[in-house]
This record gives sequence, C-alpha cells and structure tokens, in this order.
Amino acid sequence: MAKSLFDFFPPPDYLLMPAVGLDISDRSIKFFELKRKNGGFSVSKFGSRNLPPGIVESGEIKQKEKFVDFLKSIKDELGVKFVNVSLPEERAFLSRVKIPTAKEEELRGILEFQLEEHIPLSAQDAVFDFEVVEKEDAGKKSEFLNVNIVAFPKALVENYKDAFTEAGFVPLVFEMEAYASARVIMPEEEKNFCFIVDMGKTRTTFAIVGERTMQFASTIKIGGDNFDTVLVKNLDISQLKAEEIKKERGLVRSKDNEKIFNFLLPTAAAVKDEISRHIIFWNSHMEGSDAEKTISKIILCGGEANLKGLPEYLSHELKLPVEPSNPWVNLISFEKEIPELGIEESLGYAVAMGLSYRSFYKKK
Amino acid sequence: MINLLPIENKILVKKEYLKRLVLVFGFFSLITAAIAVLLLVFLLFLVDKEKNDYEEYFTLQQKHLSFLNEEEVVSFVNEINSKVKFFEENGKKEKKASEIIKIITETKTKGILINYFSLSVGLPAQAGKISFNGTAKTRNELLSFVESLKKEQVFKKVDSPISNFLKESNVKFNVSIDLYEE
Repeated sequence: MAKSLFDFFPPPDYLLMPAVGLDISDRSIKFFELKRKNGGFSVSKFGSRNLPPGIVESGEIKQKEKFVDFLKSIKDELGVKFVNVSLPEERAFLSRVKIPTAKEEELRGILEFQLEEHIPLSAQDAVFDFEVVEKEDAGKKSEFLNVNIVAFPKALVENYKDAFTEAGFVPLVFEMEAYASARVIMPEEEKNFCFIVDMGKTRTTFAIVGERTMQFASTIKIGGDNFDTVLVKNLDISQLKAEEIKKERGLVRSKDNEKIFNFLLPTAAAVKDEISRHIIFWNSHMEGSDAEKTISKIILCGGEANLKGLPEYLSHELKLPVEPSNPWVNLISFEKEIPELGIEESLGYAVAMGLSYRSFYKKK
Repeated sequence: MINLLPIENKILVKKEYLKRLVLVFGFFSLITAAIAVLLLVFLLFLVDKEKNDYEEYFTLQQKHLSFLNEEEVVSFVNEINSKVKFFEENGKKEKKASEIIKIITETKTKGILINYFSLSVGLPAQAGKISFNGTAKTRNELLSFVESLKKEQVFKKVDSPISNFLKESNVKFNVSIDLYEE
C-alpha cells in the first residue's frame, strides 16, 4: 500500500489531539485510549464504570446532574480533556441518499433542504452529517452521488454536548456506535461485505459494512440482559447468578446443557431472525451486477458476543460463516505486542476503541 | 468521516486545531531560526578566527620584512647588479675578442700560418692587447700582412719586430697589437 508523507513524518500528538473514546450505554460507560508507540499503537488506559439505572434510558439522558457528576468522576480519574463520544444507536437515523453531483461545499445545503424526505426529523430538529459513499457510473463523469446521512435528534445531541461540557470535557467527535466499532473490527484489507452484530446488554446493533464504509445500520432492543431475564424467571435465581450461568454454560447444545439451551434459544432465535431478515433484504437488492456485494460473513462484537455457542448457532441457522471479531486487527500485531486487554474482553470495548482510534485513523 | 458534533462545536474544534497548528508552526519556525542563528554565530566565529589568523600572519610577515636592514637590501641588490653587469661585459669582451681574431684571420693570406693567439683584456678603463705568432712562407707575404693589419682602424698600434724579417722564406714571426680603450 502506498505510503504518504505523513507515514514517514507523522504529525505530533499535539496536532492530532488524541482523544479518549467513551462508549455510553444505558448500563455503563466504557473508556479506552490508544497511544502511538514505535510506529504502532499501545493501550494507554481503558476501563468500564457501571452506570446506575435510570440515569440513561434508551440512550437518552434522564438525570442530567447525576450523569454530569458521573462524567466528572471519570474525568478526574482519567485526567484528560478531549473525548470522542458514541451516541446511542437506537436514536440514530441512517439513510442512503442519491443526489445529483454537486460541489462538496454545496452538499450540506442540498441535503439539509431535503432531509425530511429521508429521515423523520426536520433540519431544525436534527443534527446531521454525511459522507459520500460512491459515485454512480464509476470511471465516467458521474451525474449522481450516493451519500450516507446520519442524523440524531438535536435535543439529544445538545443534551450530550452540555453534559460533557459541564463535566469539563471537550468533545471532539460524536459518532454512531456502528461506525466506531466497524473502524476497528473490519480488517483494513477486507474486500467482502460483512454483517456486524454488536450485542450489548440492552440492545443489539446490526451493521452492514463494505467497500470501507457503512452501508446499513439498525438496532433492536434485545441484548444480553434478555438472556439473563429468561434464566432469572425460569430458574428463579438472582440476576448475578443468571449472568454467571449464562457465561458458564452459554448456548451450547448438549445433553448436560439442554435445559439452559432451551431457555436461551428463543432470545437467540429472535436475534437470528432479525439478522436473517436484514441479510435476505440486503442480498435480494444486490443480485445481478452487484452480486459481489452480498454478505459473505457475520462478525460478532460487543460485550455479550462472548456467549458460548452463539457463533455456532448463528452459523448453523444462517448458513454463513460467523466469527468473533478481533478489535485489535487494525491496531496491534500480536507478533509485536500482546495488549493488556484480552481478545474476549476487548469485544466489549470495540466502540470505545474505534472512537479512540479515530484520532489517528486515515480513511483510505 | 461523519461527526455529529453540533456545528458551533465543530467550529470551536477547528479553531483549536488552527491555534495548535499556528503554535506548532511558530515553534518549529522558532527552532529553525534559533538553529540558523546558532549556525551563523558559529560561522561568524570561524570566519573571525580565520580573519585573526590571517591578520596575525600578515603582521608576522611585515615584522619579518622590517627585520631586513635597508643597507643589506641595497648591498644585496648592488651585488646582484654587479654580477649581471659582469656577465654582460664578459659577453661583450668575448664578442670583441672573436671580432679581432676574425679581422686578423680574414686579413692574412694563404702563405701565413698563425699558431697561437694571446689576448689580454684589462679592466674596462684599460686598453687590451692581442699577440699572435706563426710562420709566413715568404718575408714579402708577412710584410704585406703586417701592412694590412696596420691599415685596420680597430687597432691602435701593430707592432712587428725587425727580427720577424731576417729570413727570406719560412719566416717565423711574432706580432702584438694594441687595442683601443673602451
């Protein structure tokens, strides 16, 4: 791959303004910071703090003062100023828009004008950004541009911005979780289209990534907690015990584990059905000339992706290769360095890692 | 890359970046200027040292020249001049001697055989003298040779003793010629 001048003379960190990646969910705030080391990266700091219930619900800050206090405690602990923050996936709107070719500086105005046609928010009530995905009729002078628009309700974004500013942070980036996680788990040399399943405690995000960009993203309100709840109800045990059993036994189909397997199966099947629905929809639109854009594999990430037997179950049911992600694939070569954060644990940090990596990332 | 930060915050971030860019640029410019100044100072020091070395050298040379006495220089030059003059004059004398011999040999007839020349040239202010001896076939041939020599303007005086004419034939003779002063 051709190297640029900046590969030989990288700009100083002072100019790059490296930021800590903060992954905010309803249950926790995960932080992760990368630092440059010998031409590669190493982990500077990482961690997770459980967020008391009720402060953030479905991605929305419900108790702002408590949230700010929580952020302040993290800031004191980290001693950093700049942060890249994830915005809740379930409140995001991602849309692919085809517009006539225009100058780059005119694109925002054009999209703002027709925003309501593509997402259920008016331009005044939304904070949006976009990226040009591809030009139609590649090679010829194209008449149309394919543009990804990501939008969030303005009130939600302002709320996040105010909270972080009050806590003393300077947010540099607000980004959709799927974009952040894809940055680290999609190998940079990957040519095929992949279906990413990011399973958290309360929600699961699906994303289709190909040609080094986000093609589609969607979130369902099923997550690791649903497995726990099923076990709590059926086995009459505590949430903690249910969590323990889930991690220990998982979704493994065996005589010893038949009972647990049957309890967890409906939740796993619901996730599988959603994945199947999206893949069928996507692939059906990619037949013919775009056949190479069909989904070639499923990549699992997120803190709940470690569920034993889940990859095998999904692979068996969806007839596609399913593999756990490696969030270090673009960051650290294990031949050179073993990161402090193990592969399994790092699955839960993919978003925070992607956010931190953004400070150094150059889109090719 | 997509960034959902509100526009006003993006502007603040951009300003912060530009501020840092200016600072970094300024810092590197300052460092470059400082290095350039240091190099210039170093070069100036080197040039100054070189200049001082040359000045010292010139001073030493001047002192060395002043050590040479003026009289010594004059006598040295005179000595050189006298040597040059000597070689010039010797060259002239050699030329004169050869011209005299040439006149004598051109004046003599076939019957006259000269065996020996003796040239004595004194200091520049004194006259020179040339003597030669030989054998003449006849007295008359010798007589006419001597008369011819006496007619030559370049000779001051041609002296042929009487004893040269005692024999009729196969006459051994000895002639001396006084030359004009320079």
